[in-house]
Amino acid sequence: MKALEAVNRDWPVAVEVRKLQSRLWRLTRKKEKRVVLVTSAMGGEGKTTTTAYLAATLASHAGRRILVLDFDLRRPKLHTHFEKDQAPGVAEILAGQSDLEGAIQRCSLEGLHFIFAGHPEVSPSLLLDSPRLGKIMEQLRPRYDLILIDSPPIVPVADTSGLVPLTDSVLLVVMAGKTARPLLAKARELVLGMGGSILGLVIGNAQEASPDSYRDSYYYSYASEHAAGKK
Amino acid sequence: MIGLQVIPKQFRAEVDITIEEPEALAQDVERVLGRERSTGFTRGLDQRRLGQLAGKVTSNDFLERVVRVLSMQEDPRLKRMAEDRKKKYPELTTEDIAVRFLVTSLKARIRVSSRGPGIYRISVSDFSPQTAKALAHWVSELFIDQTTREELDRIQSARVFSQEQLRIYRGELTRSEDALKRFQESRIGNALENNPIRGDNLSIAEEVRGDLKQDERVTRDRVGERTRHAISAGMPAEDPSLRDDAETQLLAEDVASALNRLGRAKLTHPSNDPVISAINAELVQARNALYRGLEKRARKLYENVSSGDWSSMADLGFAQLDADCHAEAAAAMNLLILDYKQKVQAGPGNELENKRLSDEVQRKRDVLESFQKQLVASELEQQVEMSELGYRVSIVNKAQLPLEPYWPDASKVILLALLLGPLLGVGFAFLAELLDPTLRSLFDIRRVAPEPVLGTLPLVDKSTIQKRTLRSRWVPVTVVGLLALTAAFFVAKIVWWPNLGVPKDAIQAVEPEEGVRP
Repeated sequence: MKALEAVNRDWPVAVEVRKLQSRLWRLTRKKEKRVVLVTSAMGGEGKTTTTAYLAATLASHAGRRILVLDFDLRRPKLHTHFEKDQAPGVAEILAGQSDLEGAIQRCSLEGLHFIFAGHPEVSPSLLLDSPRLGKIMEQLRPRYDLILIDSPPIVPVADTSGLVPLTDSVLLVVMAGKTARPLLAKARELVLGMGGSILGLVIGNAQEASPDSYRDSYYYSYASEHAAGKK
Repeated sequence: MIGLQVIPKQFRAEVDITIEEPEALAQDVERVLGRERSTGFTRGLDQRRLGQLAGKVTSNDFLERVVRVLSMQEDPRLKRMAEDRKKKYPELTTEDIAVRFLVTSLKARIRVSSRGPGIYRISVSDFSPQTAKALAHWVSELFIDQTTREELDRIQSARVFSQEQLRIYRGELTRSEDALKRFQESRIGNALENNPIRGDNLSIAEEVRGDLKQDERVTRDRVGERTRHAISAGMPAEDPSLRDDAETQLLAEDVASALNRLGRAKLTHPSNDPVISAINAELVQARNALYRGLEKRARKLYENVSSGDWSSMADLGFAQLDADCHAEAAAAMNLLILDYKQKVQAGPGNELENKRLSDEVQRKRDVLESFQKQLVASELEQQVEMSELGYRVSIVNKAQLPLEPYWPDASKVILLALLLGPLLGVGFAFLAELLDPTLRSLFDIRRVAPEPVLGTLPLVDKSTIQKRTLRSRWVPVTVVGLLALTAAFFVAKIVWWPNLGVPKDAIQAVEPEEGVRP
């Protein structure tokens, strides 16, 4: 799986993703939150990649049932991380062109299922306003341990704001060195304003966010483990 | 580097002048420089002001003179500019506008600085080296001329004042002399000149008068007697022709004069004085001459009568004339006595007034004399002062044509750039950092979103932070960028703007053929 391979390719990435999935799993179990919306203030801040890596890593643990939904109907990219077809997907389900079972895709990891974005024929805003969405979420909720939803950025479009009430919590992705202060504040305000709760933050570009920690923690251990691997 | 090319080059010409006794000329120099002068003229105060004689020349009158001497207002471009501005200032002429523009421009370009005691440097800057030199030369010439002229005016004013004072003093003296003369004439008009009567000979005068009157009475008696005798002899006793001829009158005047002189002499000489004797002898001679004259006249008039008859007529005529002479002498003596008595009565007041007027005349004479002496000394001093004017302010170093611009000074500009550049760069970088809203550190992010950080993922797709890559290489990027910009600028300057930074056609300055110094 491309996502899993990507995670394992880079050792610091693998370590951090595993730590993230571990914390996320414990928190969601503890607070009984099954549906987690992964979003960010603006596009290109790593929410789709984070979602893909999280899903792959979460599902790599045996016995877990993970569902990943791609609700970014405008610029869907989640399917590329898993080398799957985009359709049929959310757009078709919400448009009534496909049923739920027809849209669910599987992969080599037994516990990981996907519903990608699909090809919307109408405005994504209209689709996401459909009353079917709530019913679909209700149908999916009991079937999985954790549902990760990759959404559009919350500030530029209103799509995500409509999704927040349907989810249990929001995972806010921030890219150090790219996300602007007012935009993050706005995103947070939108989430909280829609009644959502922010489970936590995932900060990308650790090299800039915490360079000292990144350097000390990973490079040496990387070197040692890499050397050990070579040996 | 770009700045060195773009900034118009300025050339500076300098003239050094010395001022001997600068304290004496401090006020004049200040006036030229347009400084405010304080009142008072103490040496210490001037020395303090001399130390402050540095800075720009701001005197409008002086700068206007510079402009007109060099005919700078005739520059064609300046005239056109002045024509355009005339619409805004219709009350001014085109020339006035041009002159005012030039005066404002010159104020920023002419500086005076002190180089030491009595040595000053006049610096003039301009875009054209020739204009700078011309301005420096003529500013210094006009400066010297102005201060010299001011000094001349001062000397002339002092001279005119002195002459005026002299005229006033002379007028005062003349008035006092006239007053004294009028007073003395008023006394003489009522009195006789040279009255010999004093307090000690008044009695003698009265005695002489009495004697003369007595002699007159006796003589009048004799006239009566002679008249009766003449009448009895059938002679015309009342005939005036015997006495009225000119010769007889002259002889009678001699007798009267002798009697007068005798009377006066008796007042001042004792009776046995030879003077008295001499006058007595003259009197006798005069009377004998008179009698003989009368006899001769009578013989001629009455040739048909006996000698006894014409002789008696001669006697009668003599007695009449003798009585008249005595009466005249007595009257004259009486006049002297009356004059003296009048003097005695008004004596103290008149004497005091006379003394007062005489003293006043003398005092004014002394003042005038003293002032005239001072004037002579002052005149000499002014002559010396005027002869030294030419040497008091002189040029030590003449204006030279500047070959190199003084501004922009490449070394200073580069040093400034090296000092300011990093500072500005740091400042801009700080400002950029301050104004950059991008969240970078964990601290920044936590300040905005206090929610727990579940994970920090390393950057996987570096293309998402392309700006960051450039940002991390800002130093070489900036250096390369600036070098490229500088190179592009120089290329453009060579190809398209060869005259960039060179001011076009500085305002013309036509040097006068004649000097301006008096």
